[in-house]
Amino acid sequence: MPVQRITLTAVCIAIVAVLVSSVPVPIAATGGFTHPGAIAEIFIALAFGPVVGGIAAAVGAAIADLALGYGSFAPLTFLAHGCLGVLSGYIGWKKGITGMVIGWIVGGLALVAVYFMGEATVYGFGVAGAAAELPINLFQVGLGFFGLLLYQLVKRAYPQIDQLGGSPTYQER
Amino acid sequence: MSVAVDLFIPGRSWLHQTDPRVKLLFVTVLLILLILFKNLWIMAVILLALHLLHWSAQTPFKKIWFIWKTLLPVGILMMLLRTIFYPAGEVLFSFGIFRLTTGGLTEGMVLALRIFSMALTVFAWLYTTTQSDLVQSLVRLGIPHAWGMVLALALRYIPTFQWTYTLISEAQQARGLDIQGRKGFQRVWLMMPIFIAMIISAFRASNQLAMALEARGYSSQRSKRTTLHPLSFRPADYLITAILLLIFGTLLFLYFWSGFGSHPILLLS
Repeated sequence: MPVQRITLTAVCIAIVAVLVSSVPVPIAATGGFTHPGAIAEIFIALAFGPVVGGIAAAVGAAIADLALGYGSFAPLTFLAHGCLGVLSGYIGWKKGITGMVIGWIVGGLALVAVYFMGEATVYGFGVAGAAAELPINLFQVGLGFFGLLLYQLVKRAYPQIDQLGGSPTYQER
Repeated sequence: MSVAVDLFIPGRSWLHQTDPRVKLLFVTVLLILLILFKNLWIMAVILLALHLLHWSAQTPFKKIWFIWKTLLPVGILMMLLRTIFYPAGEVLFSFGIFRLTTGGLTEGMVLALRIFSMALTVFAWLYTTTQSDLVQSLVRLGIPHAWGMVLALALRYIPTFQWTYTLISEAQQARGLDIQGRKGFQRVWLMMPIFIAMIISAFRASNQLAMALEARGYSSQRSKRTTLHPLSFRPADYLITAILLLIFGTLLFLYFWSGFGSHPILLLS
């Protein structure tokens, strides 16, 4: 694996972990807080594809869960956010705006579905318990739309983004 | 708001000295058992045993309280939902459509105990293992060295990016960005300039890091990677592994053979 890809993946994991763990977003309806992690995850998946996107989302979100004290949910978070990263990257990477939107929606729904199924069956919360988490997960995935926007804006401000992660080629002058 | 990512608590207890690979096996085994078992008494014994384990590892009280404090709202909510929506067994109390039943209450308590036990299991591993040992143990277990490097660098850069985020956020607010009091989508929309600056700064750091690694010959295929403190299995580690596998095998056999731990109250169903 090229060194550039190693450092890019590491940096992407760190960005996701920071946005999930340290940036609170207050919610008007409940008075509670959520995080803008999905924005970083969708952005990374659309910019660098399913491998970097999947690993950054899965590992970054799981690290943040552990740092915040939600140790029991870290394995499920790893799986759910990993699905979001892989699917969004697989569907939306290097595609037009329609492909990106589909990638965001499919990836987001996969995250919600994995959390729901995992909590209802493996953790034993039942459908009622798992359903209690649905609105907050859907809101987080909704925030992921800003990831799509972020990709367009970052690309405009920093066009080199498309070359990141590959081996650089040097030309003698 | 800054969250500590390095969970390691320095110490010299037996758990600190145990090989991280053994601790990872312990976590895997216990998480499987915690998901399989549905018995209140077994869950209570495991929770008590985990507290004793943390006590023997000299985990400070405030670190245990941190886990309890974080998970208490989720634990109570899930217990209530399970109790209300899945009534079973004898009715203890009823009010309108709400019925408090022995079965529902027991299953709710099992659920809450499972949430706490799973967290205490994971943190028994993370509180007693340094980040470098953690990464090294994963590499020794077969994860490619490059992926180990990715994890090590990510853990190293999280505090740096937390600081970068705070710095950019304060700089933007000093120039008139007003995010205080804003909520939901509106707040996130206003935060976009912070995200853009932070992400571009992170990518620049990534490029510099790659150059620094290449300048030190990291990408050279000829060199064999070495570590300053290589992990080694002590006789005690073999013993703990054998005991762990024996207990796991016995409990798994009992669970599938006699239904041990699958009933909420009775030990054998």
